Amino acid sequence: MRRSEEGGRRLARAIRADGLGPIGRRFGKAGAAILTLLAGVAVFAPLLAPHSADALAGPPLLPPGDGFLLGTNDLGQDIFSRLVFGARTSLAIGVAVALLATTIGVVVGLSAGLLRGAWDQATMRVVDIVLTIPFLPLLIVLQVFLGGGPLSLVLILGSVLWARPARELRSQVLSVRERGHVQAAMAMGASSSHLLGRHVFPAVAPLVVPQVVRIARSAILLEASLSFLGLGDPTLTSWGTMLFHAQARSAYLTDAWLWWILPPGLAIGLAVLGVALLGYAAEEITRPRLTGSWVPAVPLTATGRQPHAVAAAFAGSVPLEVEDLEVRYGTGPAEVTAVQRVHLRVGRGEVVGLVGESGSGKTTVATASLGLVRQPGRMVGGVVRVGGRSLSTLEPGEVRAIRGRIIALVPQNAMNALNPVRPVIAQLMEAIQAHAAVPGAQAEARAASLLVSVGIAEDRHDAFPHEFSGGMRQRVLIAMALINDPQVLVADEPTTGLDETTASTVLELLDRLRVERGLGVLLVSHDLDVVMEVADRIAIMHRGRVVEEGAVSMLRDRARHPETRRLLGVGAVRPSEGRGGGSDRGGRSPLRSESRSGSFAEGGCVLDVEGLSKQFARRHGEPIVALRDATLHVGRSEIVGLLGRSGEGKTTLARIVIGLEAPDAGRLAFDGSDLTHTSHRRRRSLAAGMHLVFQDPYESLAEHMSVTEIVAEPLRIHRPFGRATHPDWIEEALRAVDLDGSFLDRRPHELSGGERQRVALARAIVLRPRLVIADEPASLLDAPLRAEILTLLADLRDDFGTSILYITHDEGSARRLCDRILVLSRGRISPAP
Amino acid sequence: MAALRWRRSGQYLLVVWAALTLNFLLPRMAPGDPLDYLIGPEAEILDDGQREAVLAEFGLDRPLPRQYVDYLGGLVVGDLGISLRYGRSVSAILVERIPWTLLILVPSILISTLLATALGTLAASRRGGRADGSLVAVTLMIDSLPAFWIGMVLIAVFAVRLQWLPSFGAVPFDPADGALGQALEIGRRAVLPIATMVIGSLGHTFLLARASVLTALGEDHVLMAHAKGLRPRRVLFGHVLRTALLPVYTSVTLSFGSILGGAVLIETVFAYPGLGRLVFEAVAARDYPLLQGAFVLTALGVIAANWLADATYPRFDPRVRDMSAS
Repeated sequence: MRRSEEGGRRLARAIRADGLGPIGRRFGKAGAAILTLLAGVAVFAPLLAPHSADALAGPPLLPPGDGFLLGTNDLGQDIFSRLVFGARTSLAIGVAVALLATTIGVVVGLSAGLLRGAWDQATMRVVDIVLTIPFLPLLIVLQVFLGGGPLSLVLILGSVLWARPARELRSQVLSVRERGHVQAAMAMGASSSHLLGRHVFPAVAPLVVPQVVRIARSAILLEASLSFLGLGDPTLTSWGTMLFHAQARSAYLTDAWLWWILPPGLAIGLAVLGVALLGYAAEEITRPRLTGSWVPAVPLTATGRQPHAVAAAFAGSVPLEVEDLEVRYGTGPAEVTAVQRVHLRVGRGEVVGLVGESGSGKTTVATASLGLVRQPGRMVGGVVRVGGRSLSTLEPGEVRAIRGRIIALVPQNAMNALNPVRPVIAQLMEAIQAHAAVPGAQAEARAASLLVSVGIAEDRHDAFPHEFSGGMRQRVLIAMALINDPQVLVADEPTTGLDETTASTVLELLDRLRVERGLGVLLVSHDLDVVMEVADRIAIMHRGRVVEEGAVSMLRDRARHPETRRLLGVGAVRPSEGRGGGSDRGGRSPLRSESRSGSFAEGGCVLDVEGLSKQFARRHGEPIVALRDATLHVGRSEIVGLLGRSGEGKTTLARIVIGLEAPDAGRLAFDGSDLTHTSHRRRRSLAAGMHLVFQDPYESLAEHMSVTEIVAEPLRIHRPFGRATHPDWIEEALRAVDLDGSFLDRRPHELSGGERQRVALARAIVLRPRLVIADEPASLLDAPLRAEILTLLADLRDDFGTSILYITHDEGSARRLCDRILVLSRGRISPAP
Repeated sequence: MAALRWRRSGQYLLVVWAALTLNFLLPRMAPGDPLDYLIGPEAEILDDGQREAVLAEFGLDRPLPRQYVDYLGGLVVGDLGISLRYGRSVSAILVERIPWTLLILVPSILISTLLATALGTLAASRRGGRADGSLVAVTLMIDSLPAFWIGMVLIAVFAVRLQWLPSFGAVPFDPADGALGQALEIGRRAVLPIATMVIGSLGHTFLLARASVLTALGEDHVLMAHAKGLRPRRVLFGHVLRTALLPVYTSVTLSFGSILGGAVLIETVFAYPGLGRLVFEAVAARDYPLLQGAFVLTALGVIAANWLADATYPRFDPRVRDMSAS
């Protein structure tokens, strides 16, 4: 299971380098070297300088040489000595200010972000004030009225420079708070100090380093500026005061300007550069790198022709043919071959599915069909033929003329695939006018009618993408792809993230077009079930190659390659003793325990929810009503399913039960104890008896913790054994989810999605809770993993008597697992038909 | 929601209030005799009777809250006191100096932003290549040098050594012939200060533009733009830059404060008769009323610019626009 995800991780790593890139590394080393040198000069100043800074060591305006490395200024002081002693002052002030301002900034930022409320408001108002008033004038007036001497300079600079890091750290803390693993810890009843120490601080700490560096840079420059204006201590030599004197005594009118003016400025520049280089490297380590740019793939050969009318040339040929395609990412030792020897053929009116796991290379094939790759990728071999013409024999202009006209793309990520600052109808018109000189009114009319035909009403045509839901954006993208009547459509995951009704609408639309217009479709997806419903032929991709291909009926009955069989869920038996945990697709599954179907066994409910109501205010428009008088009960050792469409309030219910949100109205009782009006502390101790398993296993585990620490966290929070965390409980929990001892020290990024979710389940059961709320625990996983998770949940109930509230939008899995099924629709709960 | 806009305006008003109050409190918190800050060194030679008279005249014998109210009232009508050095109304002096500062400030911001954006886009589209690497390195180096020092070097090279351009002042000693001649002379004297300001502020905007364009180039809507078959130039301007420039706009407007601070230093170097140089002169002469007046004006100016930028941003980014109830 882990192997198949490896491809995805390798690919992602090639595109998005972790840690320091080559530039960052070089900059970091250079910065460190510069700063070490300057620090050495500052520390050993008395040894390096031949004279003291103020001594009138020689005749005025002497050029360099003869015991005076940089000559003398107009008073006869040795410039080199002054420079060396100046390093002490300038650097010392820079470091002192950086430490002072960062300390204040960290304290304020952390406290504001964690405590929120009045303290947060007050401090952020102060930050606003400090940041909006222009720095230098403020510093000037402060120094003039309150200051004198270098200490006051440090204090005044520190009192102004803390504001930016405070604000940045606060927003980091706020975003960390919302992260899954912090929410999970809160759901487990962790106290604020636990959250701060174990979750927030480790996540935020690396970001402090770039802040310190940035402040040091500002401090050095500001000290120089203030000294230049005469606000430094004139008796103290710093690089800034040297320039002040140079300016005041009109240095550039003398012959000495070269070695009088240049060295201090260069010294300041060198110090600031060293700090900046170090800061660049520090930021690169702590912030994620940018993903690669989209570029048109370089055509392998080029001719000198002009692009011309293309439509006629494409009639009557195979819409899309891919032969022997090879695409690689990266260079040198990090090079990854994403796609290798891929052959595909989409005929007229044919729907060809391309199915594989994430990282199998299918999106690369999809975009390469249009001649596009994401840097640092490049097409190193093979042929892409659209309408019979090989893309590599065409000029870039001709390839561009084909895109959107003969072959069109519906990209994977509907949420972000539309230009956020232009109305949707304008974007469709753009697609029309890119290929033909169509007057605006006509283009608008055509765009409008197509939008209506995919279900976007006229009054929404001028709206911006962010005003549409995910499903509607997907439909806009489909309209945009079809607007020039292409011969072949490449649809990358067109139904992922859509609920079932919208998904089937989309698939129906594609099917209709296939029949009406002879549209060829390359349907790329990770969901074999969905593709099998509409495709004529399917190609299975695994680790960059097509491993099996054939008609749908043949694949269903006679699949040969293990990957195909795995995706079909055939023979997915648990490796441990045969518990009959296979995914029995038709009819009743052994997962449901016969004797418990029906009402509450053994008397008394584990969970009582009565009349719960909750609504959320929206930025514009009516508030969203998530729950309206919702009622449900979960009995002992019972598995209750809660179905509903996505976005219908199921997660809200789960969050209210676990205590992450407060209901507007209604009653909540756990094991007989009323939860609605209890104190925080009592709530937290009751939280030991229930646990929420989150939907996204990539979010709910803290990256900086090992598996042992993650699973042990409930023990640490609730301390059933005092301070000891019993390792055998942890191991037992891991064994129950079929993870052996080798996982103990691993970190989340070394685990696949399925393994992560199993760790999350182990964490859920380590305290033997009476109730586990599983919020879509398997919806982001593939079919075989889904079956495993369901089996594990059933085992939980069988082995430990745990009650489970299983929340999902997938009716099939609910029917397989649950004793009772309820439906949440429009805020109300009712039994399933 | 208008409520959000009111709340933001309220925040700006809060900052204005804080700046004005700070201005009020500083001479009263400063060590020593407050009269020193109001009438200068002459305060030492006054005898008690005269002292009381002067205190009464400045209202310093009244309770603090009353002084505060009087102070705010004075501000409303534009009374910022009398300059110790010039003996004239502070507001009158400020008004004289503002145009010169604007003369070098506005072109600097425009040129610097355009240049930085162009270079940033160039570097981003050649990411990792020689052009990108050298641009980033050179920018980091120039950005590390103090801007006022760059001005000094420019003077030494262009004005003193090469004698191409004048080195100080805004107008020639002898007025040139005709309005055009005068305008040309003024222009000549503005070149070096503007060049210095542009070089000083280029680095930060360049790095931001580069990062912003890099992010935009990797976005899915850029893929879509290519996939639609749009021409490369259209993709660049209509899709990449259109979204990438939003953070640049925000950043430039947020940096008015530091640009104005830079003007203080640069006008000092070039003896340019703007607000910045006025601050320097006031500091050197310990002309407190003038300094305070300049501080209030610059603070208010920056705050107003920030508020204006905030208010105009939604025009460019529909995602943050208020919507009327549908």
